Amino acid sequence: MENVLAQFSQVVGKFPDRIAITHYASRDQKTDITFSELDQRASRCADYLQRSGVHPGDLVGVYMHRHIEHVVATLAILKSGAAAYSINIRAMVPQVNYILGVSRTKFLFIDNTALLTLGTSEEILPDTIELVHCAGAKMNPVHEQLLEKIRTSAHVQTHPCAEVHFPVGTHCPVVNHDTALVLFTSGSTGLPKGVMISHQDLINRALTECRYFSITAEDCLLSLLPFSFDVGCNQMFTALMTGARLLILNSWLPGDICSVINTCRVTGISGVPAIWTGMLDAADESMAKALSAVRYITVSGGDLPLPQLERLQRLAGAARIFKTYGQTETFRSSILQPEEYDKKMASVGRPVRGTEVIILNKKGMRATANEAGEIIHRGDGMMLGYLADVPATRKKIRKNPLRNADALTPQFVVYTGDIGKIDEDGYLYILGRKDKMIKTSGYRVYPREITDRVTAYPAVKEAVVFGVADEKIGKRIHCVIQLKPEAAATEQEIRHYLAARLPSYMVPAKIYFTDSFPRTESGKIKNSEVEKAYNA
Amino acid sequence: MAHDGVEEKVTSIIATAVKEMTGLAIELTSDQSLIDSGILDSLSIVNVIKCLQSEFSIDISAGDITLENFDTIGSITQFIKIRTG
Repeated sequence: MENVLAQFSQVVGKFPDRIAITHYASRDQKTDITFSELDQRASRCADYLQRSGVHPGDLVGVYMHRHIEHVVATLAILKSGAAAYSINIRAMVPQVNYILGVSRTKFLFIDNTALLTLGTSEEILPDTIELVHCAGAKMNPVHEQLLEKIRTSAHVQTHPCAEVHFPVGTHCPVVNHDTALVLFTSGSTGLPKGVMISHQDLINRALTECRYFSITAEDCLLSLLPFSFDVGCNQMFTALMTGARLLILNSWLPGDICSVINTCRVTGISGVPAIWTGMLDAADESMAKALSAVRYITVSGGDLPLPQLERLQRLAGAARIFKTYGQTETFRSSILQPEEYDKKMASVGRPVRGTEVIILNKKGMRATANEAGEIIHRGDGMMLGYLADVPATRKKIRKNPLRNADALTPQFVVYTGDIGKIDEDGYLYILGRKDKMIKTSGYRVYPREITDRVTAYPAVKEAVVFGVADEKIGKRIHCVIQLKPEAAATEQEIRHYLAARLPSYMVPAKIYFTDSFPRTESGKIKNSEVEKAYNA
Repeated sequence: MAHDGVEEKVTSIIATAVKEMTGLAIELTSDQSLIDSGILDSLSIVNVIKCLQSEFSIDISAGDITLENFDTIGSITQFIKIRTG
């Protein structure tokens, strides 16, 4: 049966000496690892885990920045029969502790960057945790000191993977519906939820991207996104499964991205809107030339406003742009393919193969064409559930409401909480979050309908729209705007512009300006924080 | 222009920025990676650049902002020394 480890083994057998991963730290500092080396290191490390008492069904964490050791650790955990998860390296100790607790983790891989956080925090980790420290090349006196300090309150094993030469044993059988990965969603509100992904689903998620993006062993994929984030994590697996090279770059600076594209012959980039808006701000001819050499790029993990998408298309020239929509709980629900851009640019495309997207209207019926309602996902990509959170799982995964209640086999779907519509050609449009809908003067307004207009104003880079309680009209609409660098605009100018393009009840009552928005680790604007800051 | 104290000034700017952006009060060695290690994200480096520009009265263009020039206190110091002549 197919799973990512079996696929990876095949790749190792086929291309043992090819470079699997390059970590690009700067122009003169690159580290490579071949497929056979990666496999051997992961196997040794898996043996270490098994000998240390890791059992199938356990969860083992990786709290590291994105480098080769991170991939070694993830593969090792899967090989040992356990399930893997990553904690974003910028998480602080209370968040780390929360995740360790909810996942009942016994082993946590850490690196030097994690030492900086763990060693300087006043909070300590639970003493049941075994830390597995993978130093990497650079260990400076500060790291040594912090490591010593951490040792006073925690168990630390130092790098078991490179030096220990256990005979490599047989690894655990992989059971398809067992949990392979847990992705902790960097929820914009509240505590992170652990989204459990099965082995079956992990390979389906990876295969979906391999097919749509036509990824082969000849590709070189630029890894810019955290492995704790579904898009970044999936890209890593697509590379390992196909034999493509994964090029790790821990910088979103346009200068670095262009330089890596040029020197390492990158063929595919998975990006989020924040990366592309950064690139557009610094766009010039050399960037256009670099991007045109890339075979495909993606806009994932959020939507790029239309004017920016159009600019990106012009800038990227020959590169094929895929716009994707999904949630951590569903992975890919739909993809807009490059050849569909001209007609359906405002949409997020059609459902990916193996999935169905349903719009459920207010009456709980399948919506008609262009009727708005909640987006329901069915088929491939569905999570197993939230880790240790049955109530939240029951709210998110429910019985298919459109299926006959007497059906012999129950069928489950994911309620995304997103509002959207499907047009007469089957293309999906996202209107916003269900809980962000603004009822104003008796109208239902989704922030997206307004932000699309606001960001079309030439001086505007990004905008957040939300409702503020109002006795008379229900909610007043407020808008916070970040202007493009060196651009200027007044509240009045923008209001005039919007008044000519939107019905009056949609024109924001108040417009604020900001220098920057608070963002999640994957670059998404934290809407709730913005709302709170301006609603006080 | 004399280059005395450039590294000290850079260190202090970076330490303040790291403290502000991450809450980390860490001792920074001149070879500690800032961006590649994941301590600072490359978007927050923009604030650091603003401080450096005003402190050393130099212009730093988008093309200069790369890992080679800005990943460590050592490389930032080197960059500023070259710029200030």
